[in-house]
Formats: sequence, C-alpha cells, structure tokens
Amino acid sequence: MTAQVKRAEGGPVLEVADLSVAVRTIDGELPIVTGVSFRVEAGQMLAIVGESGCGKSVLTRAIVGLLPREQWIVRGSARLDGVELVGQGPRAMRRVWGRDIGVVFQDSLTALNPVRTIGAQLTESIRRFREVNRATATEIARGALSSVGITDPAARLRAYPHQMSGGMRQRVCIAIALLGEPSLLIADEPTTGLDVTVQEQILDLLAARCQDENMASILVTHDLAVAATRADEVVVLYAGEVVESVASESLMSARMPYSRSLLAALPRLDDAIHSRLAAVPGQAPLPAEVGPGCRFVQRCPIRVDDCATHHPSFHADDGAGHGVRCWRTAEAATTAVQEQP
Amino acid sequence: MSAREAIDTVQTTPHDQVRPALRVERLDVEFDVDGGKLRAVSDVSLEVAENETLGIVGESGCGKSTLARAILQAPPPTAGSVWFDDQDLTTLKGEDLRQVRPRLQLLLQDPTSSLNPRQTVWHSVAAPLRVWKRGTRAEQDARVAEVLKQVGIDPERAKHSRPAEYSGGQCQRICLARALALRPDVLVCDEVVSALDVLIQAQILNLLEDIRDLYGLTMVFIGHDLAVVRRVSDRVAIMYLGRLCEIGPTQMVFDHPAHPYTRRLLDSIPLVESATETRTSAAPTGEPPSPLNPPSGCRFRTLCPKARDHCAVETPELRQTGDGQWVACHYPNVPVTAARP
Repeated sequence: MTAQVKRAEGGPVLEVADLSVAVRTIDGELPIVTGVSFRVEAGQMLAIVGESGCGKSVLTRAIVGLLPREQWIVRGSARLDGVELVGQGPRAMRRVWGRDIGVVFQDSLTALNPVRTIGAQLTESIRRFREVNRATATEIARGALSSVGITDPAARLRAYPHQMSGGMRQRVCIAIALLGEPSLLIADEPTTGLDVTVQEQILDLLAARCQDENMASILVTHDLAVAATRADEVVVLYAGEVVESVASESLMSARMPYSRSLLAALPRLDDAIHSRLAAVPGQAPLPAEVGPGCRFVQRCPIRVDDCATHHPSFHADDGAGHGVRCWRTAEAATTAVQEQP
Repeated sequence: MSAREAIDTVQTTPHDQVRPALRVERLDVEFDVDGGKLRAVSDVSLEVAENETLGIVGESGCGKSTLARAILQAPPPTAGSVWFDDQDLTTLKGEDLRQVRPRLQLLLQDPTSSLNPRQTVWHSVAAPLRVWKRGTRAEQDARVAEVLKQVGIDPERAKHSRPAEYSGGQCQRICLARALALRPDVLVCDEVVSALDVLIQAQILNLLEDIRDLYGLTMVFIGHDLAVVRRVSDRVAIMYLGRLCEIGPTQMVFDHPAHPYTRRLLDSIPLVESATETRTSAAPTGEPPSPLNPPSGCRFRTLCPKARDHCAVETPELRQTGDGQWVACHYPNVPVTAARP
C-alpha cells in the first residue's frame, strides 16, 4: 500500500487518534508519548507546547514517520487527509515527505547540506516533484526564495548555508518545506535560538504563508507566549501526554495546574523588579519514573491523595472544546499558583 | 569640546548611588579575523553601583558577552579601562591580576560543560577553596556544604555524584555554588537561564535574587530575553552591534524606551496576555548588518524607521533623556533633557 493522499473535502487535514510512541530498551518498551489525540483543519495552526523531554518532538517525528522502526514502536492512528500514516514504510513515506507534509526543524545549519549551495538544494527538491529542466528549476527556486522574503535571491542561490545568518537559513528551510505545496506544515521549534526580532519575522512569514495556501500547520514550541500569540489552538504536553487543549485566546484561563504554573512562571513586563516568580519545585518525571496517578502530582500545589494513585482521563466538558486532564479542575480554576519555598 | 572629551564626563549611574563597584571606560574589544578586524565592542562606558544589578540586553553578535569577558579580563580589552576597587584591571599583570580574580566570578549559559564530568560535584565546588588555600581542610569542607545548601543541592549526595547525574537546572545551581565559594564581590551572569525550561528558569531566577541579597552581590546580568533581564535588573543597558544604544533605570527604559532599537526589541516580545489581540503591524523586514562591516554613523540606521541622512554621517553620542537614562540616538523617542555637560 502506498500513501497516496487525496484531500477529502471538509474533514480535518490531520487527525491524530490515541497515538502512543515507545522506545525499545534492554529492559523492554519504555513509553515516551501516550494516547495523544488532536486534529488540525485546513488554515488552522495548532501549537504543541511543552518543556524539554515532554515528548513533543518524538510525537511529531512519529507522525511524519521519521523514527527508525528498529528502535521505536508507534501505535494508534495519524490520518493525513484520511490516509493512515502510522505503519507506512520509508518508501511510502518518501512520497508524503515534502509533497503532503513539509517539515521545518530547529537547527537550520544541520538541516541544510553544508557543502552544497542553496540553489543546488532547492533545485534538487524542485526536480523531485516536477519534471522540469535545470533552467526552469532555477527560476522556480528564485521565486521560492522571494516568497520567503529573501532579497537578491539570484545571489543567494549561489551561497552556501554557512554564509547566511540563522534567520536567513531558516527562511531557506521554509522555502524548501513549501516547495511541494504540502497540505500540512510541521515546524519544530523553528525560532528557538534566533533573536527575538528575527523570531518575529520568521513567525510572521510562517503565518502569512500558511494563510495564503490555506495550509494546516503544527507549531512545536517550548515558548507559551509564541504559541499563544501565533496558534489558533494550543495543546499542552506534560511527561508524554496531553494535559490541556485550549483555544489560544483562552490560554490565560487554563485550568490544568501544570499549564497554570507555566503561565505563572513566565516573567512579565508588568511584574515588580526583583520580585520572585511563582516557581513550582522539582522537575518532570522521566519516562521510567511515571507513576500510576497524575504525572504532575509531585509538583502540583492542589493535589489530594487520590491524585497519586488514580490517573485522570482527558475530558472536554465545557462545550467550547477546552479539554483538561485533571481531577481537580474546579479547584484549579480558583486557586492561584503559590510560590513554593 | 571634542566628542572624546565629552563622553568622559558622561555619568551613567543614578545619582543616589555614590560608589561604583565597577567602572568601565571607553572599552574597545577587537578580534583579528579573515579580512580585517572585528570590533566586537566599541567605545562602551558604564558603571555598576555596589549591590546593583546591571542588565545587558542585545541580540546575538551585539558584543554583550564579549563586554562581560573584557570586564573580567578574559580576554582583556583592546583599549579602555575597567576600574574595580581603585585599580584599573587592564593594567594588572600576572600575580596582581590573579589576586583580583576570585572577587569577580562568571556564570555561563551551559552549566554541564562548565563542570568537569569526571569529578564529583563536591570536588568541583571545593576546587576554588583548595586552590586559594582558604582555611583548614575542615573549614573548606564546611564552606562547601554551606554553599551547596544555599543553592539547594544536597551536600551528601554531591560527595559521590557527578554532573551527569544532575539535571541542567541543578548543574546551574552547582556552578553558582562554585562561583560563590570564595565569596566574590561581583557576579557576571551570561545567559544563565537561556537553556532552561520556564519552570526551572523561574527557580533559578528566584535563587539568584536570594543569593544576591544574601551576599550583597554586584551583578552584571546578560541576556537576550527582555522580560527576564527586566525582572532582575535595577538598570539596563541595550547594546546593538558593539555599541550602547541606551542605558538607564529599568522601569524608565521599559516604560519610555528612548532608542528606536529598544522600541523594536520591546515590540518583538510575544506576550501570552496579548493572544487575543489581532496582530496589526508586521515586523519590519531586513537583515541585520554584519558586525564585520557595520554601517557608518549610527549602526542601527539601516533598520531604523526614524533614520535620516544625518544618521549615516555622525555617530550619536550618549545624551540624557531622563533621570539616569541615556540614549545614543539623533532622534530619540523621548526628548533630550540635557545635552552632554
């Protein structure tokens, strides 16, 4: 079976259902991501937010089929325009990469081949998708660079990656990801490591291109503020599972204590200088340390005994699609996150 | 009066703080690179008062880290002086310089690579005390235990654990303990929370504030995240391409940024609470110029919305716009209250 993808009218571009990822170790399977479900519609941007080690990159790599099968086990379903991606081999996925899903990674220096010019790398991708001669491919490449806001594209085609700034290289990566006119763009920490003014430019560019092409997109980020200001929907991941899913304009009224701690720990421009931040103690459990109850339990300011023994299910009951994984959401909504000693 | 004489009279400390712990005068740092000289820091003068935290903000390549290292004489600046305790550090050599070093300590971004992976954490924190032969062995051990407790690391565990057994946030605590072991007067923090997740970042920022109070430290806090730097700094300096754009009391600079570059930085920060606002203005495009070939006159003029012909000709000097707030701009956003004395 090949993953020939045809856009189904009206449905979500990507529908992820109960997706779990585990890594094989000498002690057996170690779950990294458990039971993740979400959907992304055309023209919508979904942000997946979490701290390092929460499984956000593993999750997106599992969807795109970039995890080697020898080491990783992916279960559940990820349907792109109705076609199942989980279980597809590399040969089938090769037809999906670039054409149906475009991917932009954090590190543009390693994403690009250091010994080939930008032009060579662009035209290679173009000729993978279209039967065009070299001159036409160069013409398309020039247009692709202009479309991501690169000035003097003709000169840039002759440049090597190291001759460009990080922001410029990330623009090139975006241009390459968009060459095949994918229906889904996945950007994994696309602006981490870039300066704040360059970050703003790159995020503007991503938003504009996704809007122009009515593309579905997933923005993976550790930065809550980036997610809130850019995405339509925010999915918060903690220790490998979704703990909250909320429209970005409602993020400030997040109910899961973890999401609330994240919000409270962000330095804001109206805080008093030298004031202390509301910091929850400890750190997220490692995959091997996950207990039977809520995964945030050791750090949670409003935990009760049952939280350590009973795993809360993910429930969306407010009618607005705001989903939370917590036993004590009623209490969470009214309790401020207190600073811990 | 020549420009050189003029800047010597510029006072960049608030008037109520009399004794500067550190005074940097007309500092230049140049590096030899292929095809000429890179002037990483150009003509920077500033003061840090005792028990004060000066924040230095700027984007990559602006010279903020180079400035910090030049203050610590590691490596020494190409020109200019650094006054500390009535001595010009740039004139000290050999043993004289070595004797000053314990009083000025540096904390870096990557704590794991700052610690010897093969030695116990206890050994690393004790090393400065052993090298400087401070007290008896028992006194040294007592001091190590004390300082580890102050940063929230269990001394018993530290005796037999190596850095790899600790998380990034804990390693940063260990580096802080080592920096504090000799009771320094000045602590320079270079992007110390940049690699940490937001909850850990909050813990470390709170710890730094507690430690600052406990030791009465004078701090230079370098960062690219404006909200973070604002939170811990009494005054802030904004750098662009090796030069000071603006310096002043934190609240004043953030409330009334006088330099167009400061305005631009502030406008680029994504804020969670503004998620509901529709983004009106797109970020200005344009690549930042190379530090190898900075623009003539004002270095920000190529990206500045207010730039006029004059900006290309004359380099702006620092002028006062408010009580203790100084700006290097021909057309500042805040009216100049006093020209150079």
